[in-house]
Amino acid sequence: MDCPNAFSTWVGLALTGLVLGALYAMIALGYTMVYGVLQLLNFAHSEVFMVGSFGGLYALLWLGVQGPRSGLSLVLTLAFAFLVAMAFAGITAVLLERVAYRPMRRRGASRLAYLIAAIGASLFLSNLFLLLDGERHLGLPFDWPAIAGRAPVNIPDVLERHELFQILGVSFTNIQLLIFVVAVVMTVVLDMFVRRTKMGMGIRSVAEDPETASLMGVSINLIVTTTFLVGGLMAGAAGLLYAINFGVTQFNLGFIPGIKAFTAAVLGGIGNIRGAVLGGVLLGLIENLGIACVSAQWRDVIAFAVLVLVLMFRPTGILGEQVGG
Amino acid sequence: MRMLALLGVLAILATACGGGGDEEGGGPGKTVKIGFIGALSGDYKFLVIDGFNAAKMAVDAANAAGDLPVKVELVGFDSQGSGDIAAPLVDQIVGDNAFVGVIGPAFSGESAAVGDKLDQAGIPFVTQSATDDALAQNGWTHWFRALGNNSDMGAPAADYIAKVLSASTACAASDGTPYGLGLKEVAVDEFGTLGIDVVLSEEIEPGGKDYSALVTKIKDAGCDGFFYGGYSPEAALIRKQMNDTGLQDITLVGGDGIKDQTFTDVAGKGGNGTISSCTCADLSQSQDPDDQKFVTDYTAEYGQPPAIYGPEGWDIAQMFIAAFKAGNTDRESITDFIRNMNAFHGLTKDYTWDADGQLAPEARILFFYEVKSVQWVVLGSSSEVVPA
Repeated sequence: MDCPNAFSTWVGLALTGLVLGALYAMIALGYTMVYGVLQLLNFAHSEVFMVGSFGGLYALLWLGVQGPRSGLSLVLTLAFAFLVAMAFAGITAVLLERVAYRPMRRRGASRLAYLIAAIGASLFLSNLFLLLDGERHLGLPFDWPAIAGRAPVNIPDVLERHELFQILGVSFTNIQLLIFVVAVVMTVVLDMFVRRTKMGMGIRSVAEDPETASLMGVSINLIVTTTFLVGGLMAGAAGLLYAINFGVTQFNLGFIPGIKAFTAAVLGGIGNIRGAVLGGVLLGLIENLGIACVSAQWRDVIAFAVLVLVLMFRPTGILGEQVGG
Repeated sequence: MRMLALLGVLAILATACGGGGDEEGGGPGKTVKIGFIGALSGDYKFLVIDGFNAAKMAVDAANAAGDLPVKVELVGFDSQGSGDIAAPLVDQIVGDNAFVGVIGPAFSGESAAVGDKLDQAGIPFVTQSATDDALAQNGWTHWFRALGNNSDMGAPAADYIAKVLSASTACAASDGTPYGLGLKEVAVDEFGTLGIDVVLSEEIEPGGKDYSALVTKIKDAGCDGFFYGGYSPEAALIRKQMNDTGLQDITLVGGDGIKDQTFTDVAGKGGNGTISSCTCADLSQSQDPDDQKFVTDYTAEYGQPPAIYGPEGWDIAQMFIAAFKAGNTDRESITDFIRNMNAFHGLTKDYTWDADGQLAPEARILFFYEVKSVQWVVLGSSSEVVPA
């Protein structure tokens, strides 16, 4: 055991853990809401996140962003990039539901069949982006459009990273602030949407008892589509934030954060919106603080050991399973 | 009666087995194949693709010259740098008698995974870039390493950090792969010899994007030198995230695995100043007419000058071509030809092998490279760059 010397290192690990946790939370919301409404583990959600990051990238490229922007131009550029990223991810999520899940739901497919379809959709999307590298594949006589590809793609530095202030000797940057602000605002809006609006009430009623809800005149299809759309919007924004933070995106960008966000959702109580947020933030912190004294390769071991321990004592997660609970 | 019938069937089977699969014969018009195993696409493509391109150019030129007793075909096998993907590809090569040699496997991990199979099949396999020291201890008799190993590369890198960068304490990290971890261990040993305190030694998980925890620990450790054993996708992200945390002044020093276009693409301007200690040759400054012709031809063919391990790929292809010219067209005789070469003149060095298949120590070369203006630029050979 070789623990950090300085207190500021613990603070630094906690801060980067919180940043990661905020991103996990945003993705976890999509897993948890879909699970709450359909009892479906939508494994393709990680690819919705990846598509969102590419949407943001295209928006920045289309605007011709080469280097850092500032002032109003920065705000407008970022706002546009977020809109496009969220639109890409939202549309992908809705299409996914329409093409992959709805036909199965109509035929009353088993939960196992859903799960396999979700894994298939996930592989389809990530491999599609892998193949879209502008080259000729599968012996076709024409070139694909160059959209993504195997190699990591750089995100233009639209926002120049600089230190805003120091917390206990650790610098807090503008990009970290952006991630926190977007995550908090979107989560609060989502929470209000589910609790206060009529559509939100519909989502909660379907989650509780779909048959009774539909007898009461709630359109199940509309509710399911809305749930996928909302989860997709959150994942799209998270995708762009993740890509801006690390400066790259890639066809497999969603794989690791997707698994982590799913874990966060289970940790907090799958189906539970506040649980997903709590689970995300906790997981980010556990991952980073857990490896303070040991090599970074232990990160996943520690995170999943904590998950197993929590599930041993609270099998439904920290806050239990209940949408809106 | 039943016994007789069974014997009859067995006899027919035996004849069929004995008669089949025998296409030996030689003579003009026979086609021999050389397999090229490595990451021809993906994250690690830029470490491997130039070697493939150069070998292809060599084979095409040899076929066109018309003085070979056989027609040579170079077949690329895209392993993505992974042993799991390489294994079934090697089955294809081993099962096809037309394959009489292999260039690669390019990486250490995949070499360790498939080396036994290639060796048992009697196929000569010459790697252009796998540097893990342990590969030489497998007892493979058909394996050759056309470059130095991790010890040749890691120790001078540590010397560079100590003597050129004047670091007093060092941090060391790796991606935990046979190549990366091996390289890091060599560097850490050398730091020990030099009396430099290694204040942080870490392994990361490759394939991720978030290395902020490693960077935070580097900051905490307060080291002024940093060695990374691993490949460019992770190294570029670590470099970026170090810059973001205010560690711009710590130079990242790595081995050959970071010296490619992926590093400069992903790290961008932030990657300037990064150092690679590389067993790869640089021909851009060479005055030798053969070297210059190779660079000119390559640039004309592929639109850019040869990058890492391009010339090495050319050299290995020339070894096989020389073996064919000398009339060797089966796996064992080609292996013998290559093993017995004495100071075979290549673009990058003159090749003579030790008994374990590694280059003789005096034939191994090492160059230092630095990223300047988002491009890898050669600084010089290790004796020129690092004071003794």
